[in-house]
Amino acid sequence: MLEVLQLQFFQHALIAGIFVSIACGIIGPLVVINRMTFISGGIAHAAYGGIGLAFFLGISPILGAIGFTLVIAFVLAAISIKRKERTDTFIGVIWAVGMAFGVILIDLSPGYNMDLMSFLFGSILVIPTSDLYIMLVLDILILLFIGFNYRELLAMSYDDEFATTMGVPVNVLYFILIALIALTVIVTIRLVGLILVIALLTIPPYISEYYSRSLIKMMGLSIVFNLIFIVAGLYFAYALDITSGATIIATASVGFFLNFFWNWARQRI
Amino acid sequence: MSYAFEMRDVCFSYNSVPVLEGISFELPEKEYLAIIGPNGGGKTTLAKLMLGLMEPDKGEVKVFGKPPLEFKTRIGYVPQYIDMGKGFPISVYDVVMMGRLGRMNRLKGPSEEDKAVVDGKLELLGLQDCRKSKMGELSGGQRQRVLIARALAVEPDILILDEPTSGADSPMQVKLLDVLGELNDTMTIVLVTHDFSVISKNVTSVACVNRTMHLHKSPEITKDMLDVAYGKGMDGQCPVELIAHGIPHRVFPEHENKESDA
Repeated sequence: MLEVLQLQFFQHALIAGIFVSIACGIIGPLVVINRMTFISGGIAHAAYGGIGLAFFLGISPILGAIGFTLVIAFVLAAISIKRKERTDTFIGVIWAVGMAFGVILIDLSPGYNMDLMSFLFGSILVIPTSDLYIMLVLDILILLFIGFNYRELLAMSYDDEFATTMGVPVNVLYFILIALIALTVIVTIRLVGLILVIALLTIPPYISEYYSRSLIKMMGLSIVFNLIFIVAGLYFAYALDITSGATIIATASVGFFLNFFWNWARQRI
Repeated sequence: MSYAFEMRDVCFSYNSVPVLEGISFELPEKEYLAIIGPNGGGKTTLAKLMLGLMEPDKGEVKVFGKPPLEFKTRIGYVPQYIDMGKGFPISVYDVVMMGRLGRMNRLKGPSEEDKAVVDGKLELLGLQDCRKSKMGELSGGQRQRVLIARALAVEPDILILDEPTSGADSPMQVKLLDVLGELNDTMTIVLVTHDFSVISKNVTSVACVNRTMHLHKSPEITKDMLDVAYGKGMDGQCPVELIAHGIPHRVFPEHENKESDA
């Protein structure tokens, strides 16, 4: 079992897994308590448009996805502040349009047809060192953002109107949060693919919420659960030679149902 | 003299449907204003305009002579009952601590003074035993008291409460109204409610809001106010049945059986 750790691609996947656990473990709880799951799903799928654009232009897919997705994310943030009652429709539109745009651009791109599946469901074979640096920078950004704004974010998530009367810049924080969600989604795509990203943002926070009396504890527990699911999932994916993204999510869903039945049983006994 | 609140010809519409029209009034400091009116009549909108959470389409809103959001520490707001779901990971103590955000140095976190104020407000509202409880574990009445404690932790000059009695049972309502009466010695109070029975003896003026506003500088409910608030009833009869037990201090004036302002 341990010789797998000597393989460079697996080392990269493992380091990426740790970075992703931290990013998703902190951002996921904010997504869950602010009810932003759908908007995160929209951003994840729209990111495919960025990947397509990057291939068409011949630039790094992760950088292309970052630029494109940030623009989409800010548009969605502006809509959800200005036209709250229409937000879900716009998310649905951008969700589909982003993907279609990406597929068409990849069709039109010269040269070989890149592996669509690896972006949809993740692949641990394709994580270059440069991506690890991007993940590290993102983790640092997220930790700084939370470190400086924890109380404001908590107040905004709980009651944005009261937070506004306290002078909390609610809209600015919301835009930054959306941008960080977009970045988290993009780096997580490498590991589990864009279709399954949403699971890492929601399952560990959901399990953690039950055991947490504070947001910071919910974040800490979410990081731990993410680490467990990702490391176990990566190992199973390697050992059984199956798709890493799906295996990680399968591991997380086993955790989800175990937790669910455990709580259910505890309430009956 | 400076007023706690001033509004000049304020209009507000939502999706081009007018919600409030031509609202003008001044509220001196240390008043206890009850804002009454039917549901959907614009009471909550008026409160949010006073807080600066909404911008009027037309007109001017001033708090102590300045735009409302200039102050982070002069207005304490108790919103209508909010339900964030059982799971929301926050304790009673942390909710009340939110009231200190306007004063707190955010890098240093809560000071000893912040902590002392929060402890004091928890005690004032009888919440000291559940300070560590998760908000979702509390009853509706307890949660409402936490939100009041949070507004008081601001140490405000004005307290705005939107339907604060909706989650509370009757003895709790009476106690809450007593607390508000005492607080009125040191601060201006604005109480938004659709429930006439919560207008206590301490109220100094009453505003009736139903798209327009009528301000009455006496703690009385007149037939005019009922007409404005609830529309004219048939044959000049009061359309609302008013029965309030246990509050012997207030007397409703007799209804006149003719159209008074036809």
